[in-house]
Amino acid sequence: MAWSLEAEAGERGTGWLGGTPVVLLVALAAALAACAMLAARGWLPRAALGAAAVTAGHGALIATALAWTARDDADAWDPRRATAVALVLIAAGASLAASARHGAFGHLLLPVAGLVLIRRGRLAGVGLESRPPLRAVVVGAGVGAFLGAHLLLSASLTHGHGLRGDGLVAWLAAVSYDAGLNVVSSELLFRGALLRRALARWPLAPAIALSTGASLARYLVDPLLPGAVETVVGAVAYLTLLGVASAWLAWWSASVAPAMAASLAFFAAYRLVSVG
Amino acid sequence: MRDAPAGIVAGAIALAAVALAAAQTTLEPGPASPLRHLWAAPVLGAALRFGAAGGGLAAIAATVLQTPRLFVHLEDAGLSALAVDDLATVVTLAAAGPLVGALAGEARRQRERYDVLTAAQRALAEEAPLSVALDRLRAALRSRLPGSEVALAVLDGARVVVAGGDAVAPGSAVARVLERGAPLFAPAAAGGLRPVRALVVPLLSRGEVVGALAVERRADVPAGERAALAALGAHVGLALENARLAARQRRFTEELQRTVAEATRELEAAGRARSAFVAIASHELRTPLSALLGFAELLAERPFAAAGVVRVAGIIRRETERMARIVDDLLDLSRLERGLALRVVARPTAVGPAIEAALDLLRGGALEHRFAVEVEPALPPAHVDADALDRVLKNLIANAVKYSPPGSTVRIGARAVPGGIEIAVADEGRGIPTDALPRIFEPYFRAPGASESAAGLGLGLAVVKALVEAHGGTIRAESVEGTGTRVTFVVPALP
Repeated sequence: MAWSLEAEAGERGTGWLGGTPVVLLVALAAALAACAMLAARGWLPRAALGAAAVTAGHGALIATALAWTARDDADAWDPRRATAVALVLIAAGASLAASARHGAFGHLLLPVAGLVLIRRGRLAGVGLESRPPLRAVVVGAGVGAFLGAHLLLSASLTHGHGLRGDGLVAWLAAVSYDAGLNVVSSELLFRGALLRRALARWPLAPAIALSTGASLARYLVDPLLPGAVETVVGAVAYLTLLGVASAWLAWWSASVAPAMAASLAFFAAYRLVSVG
Repeated sequence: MRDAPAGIVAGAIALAAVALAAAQTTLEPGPASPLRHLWAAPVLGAALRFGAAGGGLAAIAATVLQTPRLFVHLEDAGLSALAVDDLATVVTLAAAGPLVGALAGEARRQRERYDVLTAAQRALAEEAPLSVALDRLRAALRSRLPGSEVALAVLDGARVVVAGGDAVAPGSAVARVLERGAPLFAPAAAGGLRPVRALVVPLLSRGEVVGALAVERRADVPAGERAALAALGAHVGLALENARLAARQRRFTEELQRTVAEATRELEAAGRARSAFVAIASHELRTPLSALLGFAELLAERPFAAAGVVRVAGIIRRETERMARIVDDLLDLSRLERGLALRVVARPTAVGPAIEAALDLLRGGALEHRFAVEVEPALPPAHVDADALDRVLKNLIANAVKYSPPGSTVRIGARAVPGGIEIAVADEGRGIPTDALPRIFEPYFRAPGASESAAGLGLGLAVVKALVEAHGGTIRAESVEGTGTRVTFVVPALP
């Protein structure tokens, strides 16, 4: 009962978009537009444009997540250096993925650097600490695995999608993208920074709805998502369930680690499906 | 099921769902299987036990577990009647889970609110000091608001009694509510992904803020619960005030009983004192009256020589004066008891002659005491009523004689002091007990053992004090047991 009796109860808190690195986001968008223009004129390879898009997209998510987390912490810190390092690592990973056959393993550079931030306590505000909540992580992995298994079963029974046939290394490379970039950026922003801001204002249910809706929108606008209607419908269904479960796990455990485990398990199963 | 451990119930529901899914897949793999209706059991069970969240989760699980079978049929046959039937069942189940759960949850919350009110009433029903009552109330509220921390701060005059903390910091949420009287809700009192929600509501009694109730938890405090807690604050405020009034009434009743008992004892004592006084007064008046009667009969019946007549007349005069003194004392006391001041007419009066005049009367009684008079030379005249000074001196000297052994010395002294003339009468008697000394100027009071030494009404010193104070003077008595008593009074002198 420390707060009600002891703490100063003055007006405080950050606005919904407080701390957003607007200049950086504009710069990333401008850089991506420039790359697209260059690629359209044939002066830039398509693979390089893809790498630029990955860097700009995931860089924007991670930069926003770090900026919001840094602003909302009790002792606010400057996220610019960490953001710069993240952008460089994302760009490096994306370039590797675009240029080498199994270059997607390069995406794993980012979480390795993230461990430094975790060790310094910079991500404690979103529950990423040296000792993760293991029980919740196991529950999260279980939920993700269940949804992934369900996805495999449904895809197999309805559309006859089988398991991918290009081997274990290709699957691991695809999972590396999720483990190193896709899951990290989405969970840090939508289940970490955004959910935290929503919970500071709203009850649990609307906060989860906002977090889930935002992450769903992120996947729906992702150019990597196959455009078939049944795939989009399936994505909406599974990503909604996954988003709700992940957000609840994040709130329950006060950490995004279980949500990351759930997403990773789900995407690991998803990468097993032979699409197209 | 309501009181069964949540883990066991959840496990049983999950097991039932898995068994049902397996049975449906193996026994009735086709569309619109009759087994689909059995899904209502785990979904409604979860809804009733865990509320909207449980019902919703179970409904999602039921939907997810049935969709592969349903999707296959849709793929194969399109929207057939059986597929629509199956879909309708799934949709109904998906809606019923959260809906029934919400209703069950609301019913449970209503019951819990009632339980909280009852628990608060019970906690405040027993009489106890405020801090103990608050601790008891806090414990009751904590047990009824699981996962919540509870604190109470109640105004008790100028101080604030706190339960669940040490003190109320200035500017804190509780301090603000005590100051403004409006509820305060902080959705993120402590940040993070599982923020602490804090609600502070005022405790109100007749529109006045008498305290604050603070609830903090790492879970939602929905609007309905916030309203319920605000209502609880008003209820607890009133209950506290009632408890406080009841305690005050009990204290007042006890105080009244004590006062009445004391007054009764005093009345009884006064009654006994008056009875004793009447007996003593009768005795005191009868003694000189008997002497007067006896000597008057002697004078009437026997012839006396001139010298004998003079001696008998002297005795008659002394006894008459004694009676007059007793009657004067009684009249003065009567005036004092009616709240009237004694009448004195101050004139310049020489103190030395007044002392000698008083002694003359006593010496006439052929006493065996020695008298030592020491009057300061060039003593200014006192500004007093001469008759009153005479009565004061005679009373004090007579007392000194009465309560000191024959042959001892009675000392009378007078000297000028700032503001007047101090006159002291000291004897070598056995003294007055220390505990009786403060009371010797009270009417009817006689020190223990005084009655054995001499008769008296216990009025003399009371009248002396009244007479001295009527002049604006002061009087005090000092006594050492076994050594003697000294009474000193100060009266105004002529400037």
